[in-house]
Amino acid sequence: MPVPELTTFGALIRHALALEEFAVELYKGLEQSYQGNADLSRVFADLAAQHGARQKLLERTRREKLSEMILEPIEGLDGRLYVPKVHVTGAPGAAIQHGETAPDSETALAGKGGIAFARELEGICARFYLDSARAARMVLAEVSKVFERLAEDNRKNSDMIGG
Amino acid sequence: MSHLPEVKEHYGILKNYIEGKWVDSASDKTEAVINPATGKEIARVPMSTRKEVDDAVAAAKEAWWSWRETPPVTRARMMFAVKELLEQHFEEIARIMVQENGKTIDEARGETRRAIENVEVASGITTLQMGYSLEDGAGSGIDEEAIRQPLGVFACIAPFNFPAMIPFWFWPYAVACGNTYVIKPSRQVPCTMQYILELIDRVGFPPGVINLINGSHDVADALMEHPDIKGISFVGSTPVARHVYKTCAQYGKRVQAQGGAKNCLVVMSDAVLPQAVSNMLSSCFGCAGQRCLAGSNLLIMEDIYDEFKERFIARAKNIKVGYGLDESVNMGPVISAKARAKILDYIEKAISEGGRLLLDGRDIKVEGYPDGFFIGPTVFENVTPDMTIAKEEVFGPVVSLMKISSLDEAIDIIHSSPFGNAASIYTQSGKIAREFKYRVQAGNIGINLGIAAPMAYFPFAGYKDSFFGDLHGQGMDAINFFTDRKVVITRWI
Repeated sequence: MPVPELTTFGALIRHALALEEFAVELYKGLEQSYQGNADLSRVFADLAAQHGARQKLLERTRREKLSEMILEPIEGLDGRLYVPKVHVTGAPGAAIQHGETAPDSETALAGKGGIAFARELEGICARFYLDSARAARMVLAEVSKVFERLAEDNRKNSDMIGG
Repeated sequence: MSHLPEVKEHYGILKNYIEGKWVDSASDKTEAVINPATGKEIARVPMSTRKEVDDAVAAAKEAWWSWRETPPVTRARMMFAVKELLEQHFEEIARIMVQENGKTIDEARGETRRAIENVEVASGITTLQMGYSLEDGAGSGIDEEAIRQPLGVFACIAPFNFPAMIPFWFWPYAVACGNTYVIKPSRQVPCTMQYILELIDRVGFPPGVINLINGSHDVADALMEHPDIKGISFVGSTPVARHVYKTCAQYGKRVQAQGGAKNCLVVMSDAVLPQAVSNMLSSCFGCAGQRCLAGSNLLIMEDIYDEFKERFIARAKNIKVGYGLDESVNMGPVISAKARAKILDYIEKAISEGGRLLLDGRDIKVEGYPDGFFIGPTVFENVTPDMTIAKEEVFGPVVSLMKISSLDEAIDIIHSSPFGNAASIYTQSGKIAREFKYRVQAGNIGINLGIAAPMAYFPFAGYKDSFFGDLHGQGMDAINFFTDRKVVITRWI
């Protein structure tokens, strides 16, 4: 996942969609990896579905919540803070690999298990949505509310994943 | 950041849409449609003939009575179908618009939404077109009613700056009311409406209800002079709007002609500067300044002038200029090499008349797009109301800062302009805001908002040389423009 330039509403939504796509792939992989643990496998399946639904919500938000009257430039968001430090190949059950795009990819997540990866991702998403909500509040109040709700879901997901 | 894919690299030679069929123009004259970011041709647009205008109008006239007899609820359902198709193809519409107009993808998405909103409002035609009645209204036992009836064939002559939205200020209302319609897109940006008409074609309107004809001013003149057209909607510059108004009046037509603008944004001492500056950036530099609601003269109270200037320049410098399909871009190019040259002339003239350049966008280089028509954000100070840059519509990303000492002075400057399209004020004082709203002679007023763009259910207003006519586009004004009132007085004996 490339480091985004978060300077416009469209760029925010684009990155949000990339994060959600990443999460879907991650959770599909974890669902397969944890077949031996039915409860966890179901949690990951649910999370994959949830992040898939969030993509649709974001696409709808992009279409319907943008007001061309108040398309102000967005400033103050450092894209490097919102890029997961791992990536997952598309195949079910595929290994989680170190990412190549984030500057500190070699450090934070090396050696962590799938649950830790998932929690990390939920944390990145929550931070991204909260910071974006703050940055966009004056510009796009309705979008800000959507982002706050998504961040809240990320926090709940993180708690649910446990670990 | 890499850019979003273009819908097509080249759209070929565009066609006209007449009587429910796509037809090649008989004209051997075509013009190139240029992507303003790349400088490359993306389509060729035919300069249609008068005969083809006649064909389109004849088809619309032929379709009218049957369409007029179609119940409003059925017409409304067809509007729902139009909305559904536009939603499904939202992203393609927006991307084509970026490709031919140069605006950013966010701006194009916002414009597409605005177009759809007009269809949504027109879908309420069963309510909007209702008349009214009064029992015993004309005397005891004599009832009186007023009904709204469609008139026949209408047409719009659209500008380049909003390829999708502006035709939608008019045609959905006209057609929902039971009229038939001819759209003439700008020859600089005809691809968006071509694509939209391809979608509308799937809805199943009876042939001739909606028609599209490409071309230049010859086509516009033919529409204005045509005896079977009942009314014309136009958006463009003031000289042309005045010409359209006169010509349509001469030919006995209804007309609504939106002209140019020179909009002032007033910043009072109590304005919340960070938010005001952020909002003003979108007003001044959104759509590269090519909108009739763009902020152009910034009138700033002298006690906050220096702080404002510092903040505004700092933010303006950060505006990312580039190809609008790159989602991180804040501002795209202007429409053409000719437009760019004209804007550069205005900048030169402002310098020669004593303006001081605080931010110079003339020599901007956009990596990867050496042939684009880019101008960076440009900001002047030392501008006085009598200077050309302060008086004339530049239609580019150029703004002038002026110090004021009072609200009265700001309003005097606003009123010294022949235009009256829009004006905005930034203040925390309700009293000042109300006074501004009450006194300022402009059709669209913004309070802490730099682009006072009316939603589809309100009229897109305009005063003085910014509008010729009385009924505006959108909302109930549009319903009134596209219908006539018939009064029926009934006595049963």
